Amino acid sequence: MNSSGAVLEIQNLTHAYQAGTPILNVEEFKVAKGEMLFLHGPSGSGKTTLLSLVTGVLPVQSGQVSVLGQPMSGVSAARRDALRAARMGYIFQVFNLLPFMSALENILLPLQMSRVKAARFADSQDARNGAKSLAERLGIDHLLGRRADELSVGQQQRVAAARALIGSPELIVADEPTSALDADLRESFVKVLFEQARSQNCGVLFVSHDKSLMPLFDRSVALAEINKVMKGKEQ
Amino acid sequence: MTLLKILWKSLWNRRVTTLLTIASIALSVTLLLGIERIRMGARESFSNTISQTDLIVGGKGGTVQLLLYTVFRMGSATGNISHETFEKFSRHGAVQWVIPYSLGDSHRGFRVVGTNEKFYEHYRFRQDKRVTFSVGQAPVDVLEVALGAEVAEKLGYTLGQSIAVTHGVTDGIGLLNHDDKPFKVVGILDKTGTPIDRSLYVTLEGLEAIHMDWKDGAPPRKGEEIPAASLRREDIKIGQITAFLVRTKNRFETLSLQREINTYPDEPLMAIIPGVALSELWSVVSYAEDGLRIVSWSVLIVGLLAMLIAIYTSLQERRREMAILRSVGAGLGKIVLLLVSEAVLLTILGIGFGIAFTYSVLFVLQPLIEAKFGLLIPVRALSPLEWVFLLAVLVSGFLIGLVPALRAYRNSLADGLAVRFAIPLLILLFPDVSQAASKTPQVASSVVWLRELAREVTCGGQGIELLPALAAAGTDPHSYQLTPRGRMQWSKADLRLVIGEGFESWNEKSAGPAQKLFTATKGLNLRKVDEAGDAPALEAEAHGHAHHHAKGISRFDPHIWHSPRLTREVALNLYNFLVQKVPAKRMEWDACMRQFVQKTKAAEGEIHKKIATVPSSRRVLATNHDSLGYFADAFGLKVITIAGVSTEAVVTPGRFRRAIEAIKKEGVRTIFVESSSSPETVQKVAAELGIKVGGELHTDGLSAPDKPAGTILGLWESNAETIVSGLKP
Repeated sequence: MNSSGAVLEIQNLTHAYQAGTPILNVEEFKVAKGEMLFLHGPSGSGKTTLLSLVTGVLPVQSGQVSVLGQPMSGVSAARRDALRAARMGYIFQVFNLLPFMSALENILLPLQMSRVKAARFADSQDARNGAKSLAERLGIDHLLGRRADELSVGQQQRVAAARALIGSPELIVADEPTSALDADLRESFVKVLFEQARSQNCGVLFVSHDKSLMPLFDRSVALAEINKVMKGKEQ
Repeated sequence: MTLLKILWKSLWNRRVTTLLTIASIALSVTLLLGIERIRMGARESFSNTISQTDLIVGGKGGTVQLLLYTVFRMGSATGNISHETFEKFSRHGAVQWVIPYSLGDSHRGFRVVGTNEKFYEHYRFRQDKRVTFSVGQAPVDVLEVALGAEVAEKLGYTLGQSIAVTHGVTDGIGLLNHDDKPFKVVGILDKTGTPIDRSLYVTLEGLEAIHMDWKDGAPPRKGEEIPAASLRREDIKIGQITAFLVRTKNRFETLSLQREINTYPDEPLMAIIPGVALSELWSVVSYAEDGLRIVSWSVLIVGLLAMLIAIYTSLQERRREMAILRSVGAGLGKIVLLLVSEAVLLTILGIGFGIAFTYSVLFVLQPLIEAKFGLLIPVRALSPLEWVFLLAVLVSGFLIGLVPALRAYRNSLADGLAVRFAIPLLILLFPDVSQAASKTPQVASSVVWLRELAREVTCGGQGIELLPALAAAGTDPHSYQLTPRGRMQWSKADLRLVIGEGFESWNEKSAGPAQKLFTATKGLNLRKVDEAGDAPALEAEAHGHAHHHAKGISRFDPHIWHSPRLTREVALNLYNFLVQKVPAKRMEWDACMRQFVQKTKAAEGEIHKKIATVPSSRRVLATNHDSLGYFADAFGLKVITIAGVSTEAVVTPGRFRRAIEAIKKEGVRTIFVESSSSPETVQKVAAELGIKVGGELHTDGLSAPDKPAGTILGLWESNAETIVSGLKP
């Protein structure tokens, strides 16, 4: 199934929250290994739904989705959760962090959820060191002890990036992670994220409506072009 | 850091609600256990009213009746027993001891019991407690009396006092008194917490003596009385007694003795076993016991419902938390586990504290209750029944935890990874109630823009009353002076919205309490205004208008309304601020909030397109007043501001010249006038450089509502329109 070395392969995927009104209809979509892909589209074009399907949070209703060579369609929720926990990282638009935990604890969260990610480190001390060096490279090492809700939005997003990166995932899915940031912070956020992702040979699927970031990516795709539901509407 | 640690931190983060929930469960458990203890105490006190007595013997009649008049001193006897019969049975081979009772007289409503020394020797209650004297001793002489503790206390009698016995049982002072033969108080009994406290004790001979000269239940006629002084115990022969208590030598003989008495041929007698009769009597009053149980279970149900509501409400607020845990790989099972463990943990803590609380209360109150009510509440380990109760509480806690957990499961499926706004359960269930609870707050705004923003996020002012903005549309908010009417309105308002950063200089003193004040610029990443530096002075220096007030020069640009992004941020902050005050409207407002965000994004996109039609080299915004910095930032315009042209700032020739140079250097062909500043300088510059005046830009807030710049989006659109048509070749 994973002949092409793609981290994400979608075929004939459709999704509807209410029967009869599909929100998503994607014939074909691929992300190559280690590729930085920019997926853009206006609000309401089904971006978050697509990401929920890709990460296995929502069950695939029809069509094929395979992530990192594993099928997301037709498998149990537990298997999808396990795959997400073990081999993916996720960054939200805002409110990425559990507010009552420190930045460091937030970064280490994926290691609690996945033995695969935890196994990248010898022990918990090693994991903390790993989190610290990641934080250092993201420029947030001085904030690790702070409670997440004391951080600025920009700092929170960097902590979220560190959380997504820890434990060497192969695909990071980011849902408009820069939309709450200032223009100058946006670019530096994306750059530092890429730098770390590249060093881990980790692909990034980055969704945004802000096209100014597009030049930073290997490739960009308009969701409106691949989502036939949207196409129909625009015409 | 396991799931448990996440749970702990999350609970700690909500510690007030959590503690309240635990407290409500603990109180319910305390009440449940407490009532159970009182019930048990009452039951045990009841069945321990009499101990070590194997049989109660009286005239034939009802079982309960016999028990009532002998043990509880209630009701009246059915018949008497001859003294010979009593003597006969007291010498019976199976009998260890007997206590005779002679009843029928009273004193001020308290029964008078004729008995003998055996009573003080053998009578037992509460397993092995005997009757003891707090003062004095048992009556020995004919006209001596000992008082039960309650009698002495209620009537205030002391040793040596004389009292008269009333014939028959009457409340208060009787009609037929044995006044001629008063009794002398020789002893007062210790409190027992049993009916013993409510009686007076005389000798059998004493009761016989006061009735000796009576005939057919009537007092003796004049001259026929036997004088009290002539009575001697040895001379008095006892004719009849009312009942007697029997202790057998061997418990096995009890039943055969009972049968023997019940079938005694010479007299109609009846013997009852106190334990059996007591439980028979208890079953009569058991509905009271059931009532107590119902009360305690109801209390418990309320306590558990409080927990359900607490967890459910917090769950709605924690949808984000759930989404985050999902995103890092937590399966739905873990989410369900998290919520169920929370409920179980709270229940266990509630039960633990409830038990601890019950025992500490018992420990403190037990002596008090015993002294006051004669009710001994046992302080001992939990009974099996109580364990069952607690287990039932725990299981209910678990089941109740499942409700929000399943709900979270469903939310999570529906939400996917979308971050939702929360809707508290109570508001879902009782939107009208929670609305009625608080009156509609009056919201005052310093400027029209804030009022408009509040209108947008509240679906046109639903659930709040929007007062007119202090600085009316189209006026200059900088030079606004607070009118007396405005001041009154401002101080009366429940909530106040201001821009902050020194924009409302008049508000510095009258800001009022922080929880009522919303400051739009708070928490935003604002544009710095560097009033000291030289280089950015072109842009910043001029911006020294009204924000430069006597004290504190603002260092940040307050003109946030020109930035679509900041507008959205302020809208979200304002939404959150208002939702705290009017939580019932959350759901409705949520939709409007989203709509507004979409609207602004759409407008932003349109403006981007419009600006894109201007060649990029021409995208320079030259004005006389630097308040469009955010707008320029948002849409990629370069700003040149002529220094010192503002109404209140001083013109320095040097900066004026530099501005002119910058305009020349950039090849600017159009210069714009900002609405709140004087156009003269602009016209002068335009004339000098031979460039055109590009029209008026709206800067210091919204214009009158009927103008294009009268709405939040209209302001951006009309400025964009002016700029684009001014800049286009």
